[in-house]
Amino acid sequence: MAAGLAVDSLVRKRGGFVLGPVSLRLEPGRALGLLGANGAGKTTLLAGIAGQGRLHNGAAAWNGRPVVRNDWRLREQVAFVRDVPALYGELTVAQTLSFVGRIYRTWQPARAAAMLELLRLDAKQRVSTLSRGMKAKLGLLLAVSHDVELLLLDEVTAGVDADTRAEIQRLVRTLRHERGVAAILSSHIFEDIEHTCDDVLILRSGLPVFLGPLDDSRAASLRDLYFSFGGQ
Amino acid sequence: MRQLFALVKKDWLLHWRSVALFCVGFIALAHALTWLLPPLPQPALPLPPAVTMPVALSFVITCVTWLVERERSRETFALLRALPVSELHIVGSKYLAYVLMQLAGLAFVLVTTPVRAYLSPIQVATTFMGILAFASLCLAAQLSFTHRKAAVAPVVLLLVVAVGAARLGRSQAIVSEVVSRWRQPWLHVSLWAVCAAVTLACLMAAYLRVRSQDTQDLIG
Repeated sequence: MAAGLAVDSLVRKRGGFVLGPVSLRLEPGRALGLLGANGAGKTTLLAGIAGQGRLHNGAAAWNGRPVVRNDWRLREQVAFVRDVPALYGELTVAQTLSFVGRIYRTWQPARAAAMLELLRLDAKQRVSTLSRGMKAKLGLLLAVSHDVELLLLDEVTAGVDADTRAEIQRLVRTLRHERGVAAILSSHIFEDIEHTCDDVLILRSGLPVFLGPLDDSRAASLRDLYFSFGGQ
Repeated sequence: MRQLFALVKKDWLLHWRSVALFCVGFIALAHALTWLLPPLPQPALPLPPAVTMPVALSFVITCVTWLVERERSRETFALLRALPVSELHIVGSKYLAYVLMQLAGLAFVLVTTPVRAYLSPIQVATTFMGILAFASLCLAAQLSFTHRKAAVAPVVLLLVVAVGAARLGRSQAIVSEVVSRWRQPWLHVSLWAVCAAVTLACLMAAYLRVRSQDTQDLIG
């Protein structure tokens, strides 16, 4: 059984948009940055890997287990965090943690409590009153307070302040190094990917135009690399 | 099962205030109507079915809309789809949450209105089952369609049933027959079976529909 993520010639279609074919490998403990303009297919790719939508061609597998649409048991290992986490505004942070904690088989209450403190979230605060950055942190907290193995982060750092971005970057690095969590981070911010990831995949209109290590010798920086492949 | 309980508890936490407000509003409306409308022909009932049934059915449509449309409009279906819960958990929890709402509504109605004066316990049970079957139909419509179509589908069905009932009601012989059968226990047992079958069919349809949808389509 192959450890980690294996994506082979994955194709997804939504309306007139076609993603792929995309192929990639990601070992446990490593992180892949996903770059591309709006509409390049980043979310479509992440949703496909998370089993949130139909794969029209090709295949994806996590630790040898094929990704099938709506395979809910896979979500014990694979967490998908969207740019603006959809949360129940009427609930407090504590009620949200309690609700999600009852659902995961491997939920770690002590870990959730420690994360709550680390991310400086108030358990009594109503979710609707949280700022965008705090909601992003809560979404991340929910995704990592169980035994997650693959973390799919879809522009979670968009629209949040520099401090929160730094906290999220630190958290992803810690999860990778201490728990061997693999991560795919999609972002428009080069710095997020440079500080967090080992490899980068650049998508252009649904097609992968570059997949390789961040320290690729073809460019002096990630920014140069991105623009050398037609980034706008 | 723990996922199911967590989801039902969450829905209950989100909506119990609205259910309580609806029940209070129902009583206020009923009293206002009995005060405003001219006296009914004998035997006069404090809350005739002509008032209670539309309110009960609007309770169904309102509650089911709260349960489903809220998840859709605020995109929290995406959160549910990111959690380890199956489509069966999602549909089942919505139905169970609704059953709890209806039980709360029934308890409230039994305590605050003289329903027991004109309905026997077996008739109350049949009415309860019928409303549950209608709720499962609304749930299937809400989960199968989006936006206007979702709300309109059960209302159209209700209109068809109401028009049919009104036409049949013109015949005194049919009304007498229905009233006499309504008092026979065996009819109620067969009605329960029909209601249970309709409920199961609707929930199965809702499950299959949700299962076939991508998360993005489910949000609408």
